[in-house]
Amino acid sequence: MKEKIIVKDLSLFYGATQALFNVNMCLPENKVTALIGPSGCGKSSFMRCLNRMNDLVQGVVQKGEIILDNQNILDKNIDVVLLRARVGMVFQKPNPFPKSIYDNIAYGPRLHGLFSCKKELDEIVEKSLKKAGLFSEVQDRLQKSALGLSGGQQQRLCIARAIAVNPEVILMDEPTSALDPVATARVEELIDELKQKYTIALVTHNLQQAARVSQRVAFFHKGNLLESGETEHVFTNPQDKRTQDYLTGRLFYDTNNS
Amino acid sequence: MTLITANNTEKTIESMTQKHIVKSYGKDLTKLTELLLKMGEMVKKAITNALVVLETGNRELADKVIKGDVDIDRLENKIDNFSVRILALRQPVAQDLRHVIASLKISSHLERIADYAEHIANRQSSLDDTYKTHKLSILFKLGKIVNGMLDDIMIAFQERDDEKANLVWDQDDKVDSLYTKFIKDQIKYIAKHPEDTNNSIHLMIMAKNLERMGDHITNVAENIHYLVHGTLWADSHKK
Repeated sequence: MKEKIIVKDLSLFYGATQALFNVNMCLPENKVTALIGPSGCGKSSFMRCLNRMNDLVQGVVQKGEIILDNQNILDKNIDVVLLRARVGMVFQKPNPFPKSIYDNIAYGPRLHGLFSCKKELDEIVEKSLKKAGLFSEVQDRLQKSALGLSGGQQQRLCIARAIAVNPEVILMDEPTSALDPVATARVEELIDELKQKYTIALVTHNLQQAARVSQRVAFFHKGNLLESGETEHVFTNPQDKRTQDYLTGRLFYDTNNS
Repeated sequence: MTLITANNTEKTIESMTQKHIVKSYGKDLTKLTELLLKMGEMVKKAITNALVVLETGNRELADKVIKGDVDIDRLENKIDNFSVRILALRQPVAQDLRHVIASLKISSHLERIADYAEHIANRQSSLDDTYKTHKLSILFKLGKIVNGMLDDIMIAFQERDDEKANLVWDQDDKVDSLYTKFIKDQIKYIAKHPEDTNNSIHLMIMAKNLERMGDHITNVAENIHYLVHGTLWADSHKK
C-alpha cells in the first residue's frame, strides 16, 4: 500500500487557539480515507491543511510536515494554486459558478492552461463529466446555467470540476449532507469509482457513509487523532474507548469538552 | 443456582458501558441480553428435568420437557426477530454490533442444547424397565457438569467475563473423558449382556446428547470471547 500523503507532527493554530495537536497519519494512494469525529474535533481543519486552504484564514499557523509525493506542501515555496489543482476539493454545499455547465468544468483547465485548442477543452469537459457520471444527464444542455441542475447533479458537477484539472487527491467535506438518499447513493458510487484513479479524503458526520465508502478511518477528538485504521476494524473493534463511544452513540467520558 | 433478574442485568451492563445517548437503543440491547438470560434459565431447567426423567422415569415431567422445548424454540425466534430489528433500525457498530451477532449465535446454541435435553426426556420412554440396573452415575455426573457449565457460561455472558468463559471452555475436557469412559463401559456391558443392547444403545445416545451440549457451551464461550475482544477465539488461541 503506497502512501500518497504522509502527515508528520502537524499542529494547527488559529491565532492563540490550537486546533490540531501533533497529528501523524498517512493517506494511502487510491483509497478513501474517512475523517470522522464530533463537531469541532478538527477533522475539517485537518483536511483543509492538505491543500493549504487554511492559508486563507488570518493568523493561521501550521507546524509539522505534510508530505505529498516526497514534497512538504507546507513549505513556503510551494505554489498553492498549483497545489490546489493537484489536491482538489469538493464542499458540503454544491457551489457551481453562476455560469454554464460547460464553463464550470472549463474554468480550471483555462486557469491552468491545460489545453491547446477548443477541441481539446471540449474533450476535457466531456471526459470530466463522464467520470463524474453526469455527462448523459447534461450533454444536451452544456451551455445552460449550472444553477438549473438539481442539488445532486450540482454536487457531481463540482466533482467533475475538481477532476477537470487532473488532480491526484480529492478532498471532500461532507459532500452529501445536502443531498437526498438517491443523490447520496450516486455520489457514493462515484467516490467508489473515483478511488481507482485518485486518493480521496472524506469528512463526514454520516458514520454509515464512512463505513460504506471508505477503506480507512481516522477518528479525531478535540484536535487529536485518537485512532486510525482499516474501516472494517474500526467499525467492528475500535481500540480507543472514545472511538467506541462515538461510533455507538454513547456519551463520552469527558462530556464537558466533547 | 444463580438468580438473574432484569434489574441485575441492566445494572451490570450499565456499569460496564456508557449509556447510549438514545436511551431506547440502550434499552433494546438490555432487553436482548435479558431474553438470552431467560432462555439460558429455561434450557438449564430442561436439562435438570430431563435428568430427573432419566432417574425416575416420570413421563409427566418428560412431557413437560418436550412441550417446554417448543417454548424455547419460540423464544429463539423472538431473539432472532428482535436482533434483526436492532440491526435494521439501529445499525449497530463496534461493541453493539458484536453484542447482537453474539446474541444471535448464542441463542442458536442454546436452542440446540434444549433439543438434546428434549431428546433425552423423549428417549427415556424407549428404555426397557431394566435400564436402572445400568451404571448411570457417570451419566448423571455428565449432566451435572454440563448444567454447571451452562450456568457459568450465562453468568460469563451477563458479566462480559472472558476469563470465566475460558474456564468453562476448559471444563469440556472433563465432559469428553467422562463420555468416552461411559461409552467404553457400555461396549463392555453389551459384550457381557447382549440381551440388554437396546438399553445400552439408548443410554449411549443420551450420553452423546450430553457431550454435544458441552460442545455447544464451548461455542458459547467462544462467542463471548468475540463479544468481549472483537477477535475470533480461534485466532486468539492458536497453539
